[in-house]
Amino acid sequence: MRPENNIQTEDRHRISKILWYLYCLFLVLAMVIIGKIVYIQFIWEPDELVESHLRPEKVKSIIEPERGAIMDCNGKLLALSTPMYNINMDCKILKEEYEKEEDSVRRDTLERNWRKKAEALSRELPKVLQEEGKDASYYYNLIISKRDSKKKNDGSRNVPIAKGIDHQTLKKLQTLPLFKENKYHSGMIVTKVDTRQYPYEGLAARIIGDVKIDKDNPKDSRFVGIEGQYNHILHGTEGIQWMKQTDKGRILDPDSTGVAVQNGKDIRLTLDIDIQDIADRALRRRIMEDEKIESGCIVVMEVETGAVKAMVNLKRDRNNNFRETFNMAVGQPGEPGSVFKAASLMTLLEDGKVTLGTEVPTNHGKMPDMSKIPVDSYITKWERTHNTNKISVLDGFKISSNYVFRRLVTDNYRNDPKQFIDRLYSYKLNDAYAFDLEEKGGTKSKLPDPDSKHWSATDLASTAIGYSVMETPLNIVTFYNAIANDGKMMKPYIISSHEQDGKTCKEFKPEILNGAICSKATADTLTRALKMVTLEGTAAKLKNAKCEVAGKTGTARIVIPKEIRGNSSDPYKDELGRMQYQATFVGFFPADEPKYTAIVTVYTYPTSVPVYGSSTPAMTFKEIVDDLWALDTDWGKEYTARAGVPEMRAQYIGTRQGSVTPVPDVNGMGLKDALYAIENNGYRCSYEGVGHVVSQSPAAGTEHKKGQTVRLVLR
Amino acid sequence: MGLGKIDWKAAGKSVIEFIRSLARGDLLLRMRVDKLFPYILYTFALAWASIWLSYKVEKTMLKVEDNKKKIEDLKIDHAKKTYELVGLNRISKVEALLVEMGSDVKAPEKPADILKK
Repeated sequence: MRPENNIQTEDRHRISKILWYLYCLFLVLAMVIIGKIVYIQFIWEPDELVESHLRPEKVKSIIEPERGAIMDCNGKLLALSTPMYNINMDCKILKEEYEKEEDSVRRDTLERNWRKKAEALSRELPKVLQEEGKDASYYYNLIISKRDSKKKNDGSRNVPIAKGIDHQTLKKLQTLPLFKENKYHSGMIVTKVDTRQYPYEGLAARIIGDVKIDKDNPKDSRFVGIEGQYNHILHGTEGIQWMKQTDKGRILDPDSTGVAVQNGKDIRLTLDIDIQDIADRALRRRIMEDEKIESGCIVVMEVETGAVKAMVNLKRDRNNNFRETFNMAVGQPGEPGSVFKAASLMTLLEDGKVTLGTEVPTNHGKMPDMSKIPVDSYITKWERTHNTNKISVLDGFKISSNYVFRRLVTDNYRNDPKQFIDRLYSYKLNDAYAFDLEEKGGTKSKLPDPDSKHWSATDLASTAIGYSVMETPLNIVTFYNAIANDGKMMKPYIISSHEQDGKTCKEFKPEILNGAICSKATADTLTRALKMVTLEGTAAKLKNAKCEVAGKTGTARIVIPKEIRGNSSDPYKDELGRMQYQATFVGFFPADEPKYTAIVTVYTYPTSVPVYGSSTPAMTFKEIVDDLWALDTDWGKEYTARAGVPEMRAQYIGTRQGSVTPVPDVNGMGLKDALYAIENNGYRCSYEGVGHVVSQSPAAGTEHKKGQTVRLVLR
Repeated sequence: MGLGKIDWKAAGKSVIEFIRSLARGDLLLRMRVDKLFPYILYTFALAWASIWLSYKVEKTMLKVEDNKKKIEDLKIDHAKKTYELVGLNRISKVEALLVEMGSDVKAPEKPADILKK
């Protein structure tokens, strides 16, 4: 037998040998690895395709900013962006790969399976898309005919499946057979199209506007309304980020730097979409009834601030539909007619030339020394009905007599017409106010200049009654707003603020154009005269409006362009003797404490039957007043509470264990809660009265045996 | 010994000693690398942490991208729903719907009364 020590030595020797072999193995491996590293690092040149996969691709990605929304004064969304999707399908997807299969059985099976899925997809598509005339066979034939097509020049491999679908529909489509597989199997091609949505459809369409950018021909791009004019605010600025491709998808490269995207700002308007809706509906209804009317516009303004609350512009199209295609309120000045008499009267009153009681000789309605001016039939009627040869300024204003105002102005300013005209300039009737919105193709208001060579002898008289001047409805309503505002003329504005993520970035406050275009006394006198117009004058149809209106009617002829009037020598008549009219009603309400000023103007086609300011415009105005009055809580009756109602207190009434528990405090509770609290504590309950618990017996906190009765008094 | 001359004998001895030491497995110990062992471990740990963190960053970024897509989807759905609801809020549309439904509810004919304390 070998000694024990020898055995141990042999074992150690064997173990150390094994370890040595292992060591050698690892050493060789380490050398191989080091050698490989050196080889890869300095000698090996990978295949380009392999390299592209080994080196993650970095792609510059442009982040499109979110376009800002447009809101009304109450934050109701008037325009917002949502993406829509176009779906196309690559019908020849995998076809070539299948055809390369050498095994014919496998090849046919693969193709058959794909077609089966396409058939199942075709069955589901009509249910999701619900497009008229497109059933399962339509979609199947569309897909398969394209797949089987062997023509090389038959366009692309794609067929359109759906256009302009929303996100929900897209999600549904992505659950359908075939489409639920990845795009390399299904052939589904989704194209995102950012679309501007207008929840109120055509309402205030011209104010909100739109942007259409023609990249091929930038000159043909279209920028209309707020969307167009404030595109730089709404659009925001693009961001840049670098993306890295990984096995599981594309990620933001954490080592890269980028440019943060700046989303567009929201624009809050002064417009109140409810008032806009009321005004739009009223005008639409009234002008729809009258085929003579070609178009109409309304502006509603807040008296105190000059904020535009509604601006409607409707024009009849070839299909007899009214659409917002041109902002007449801002860009279509015309001779305003009798509504301008308020400016003449303001001037006469301010210069102390007349009072409302001043009497004017009627002279059978004939202007002395101006034989060409036609006789005023209102005056001859006045002479007949009142058996008098005099008429007061107030009565002349009430019946809207041209004679009275021509005569008053010529008598008082014949020697110094500039004094009269300068006053009109001080009323800002020649201003565009740098209004927030411009109308492309529109023109501006214009007053005559007595120093100009074009000034004629009759200009003063015609200016007095609203001819020889060109005024936009916005100018007229701003002037009347100043009367309502005790002579303080506010700048009309429509943009209230720019906002980002609900925070105001820039606020636009009301601005004063002229602190006092007239004295308060003059404004009060004019208000009195305007009230008389609606009570007894030309606008008596407004007498029954739900709140008192002070306003003025105006009817003016429109100069007919030469290409339309043909050979007619009268600029106001066409060859058939027909005339075009601009009929207006402008006023404010409630007359004593005005909150809104509004103007309604309608424009006719050439017609032999006139449209007056006292008809369609006044009736439209009444409808607006009635609807607004009912909706505005400021004008509701106030009731003061006389009885005190006990205040409810929130308290927790638990359920207690044990035969004796304290009675819960149920004072102030309704019966239902009190019963619940008492019975849950093991007591019985009796009560009298209605209302809330005013007393309880035994009192709260008293230790009482369960099953006993707690009496409640309610009041 | 001159600077330009190489002691080939000593160099050969050293190489042989190096190979022997390598074969014995005590090369590192002879080089007294055991003193640097903590630093080697530290460097290894740093390299490992760097690789591990890069992996985690990539995983997190994938999650971020995935969440971005989900948020985008939710935002689109929200915008779409808002659009649909706002459209229904129009006074004239509500009135038309009421008429269509045969409802007796109509637009108010007078302003709401105000109750004051």
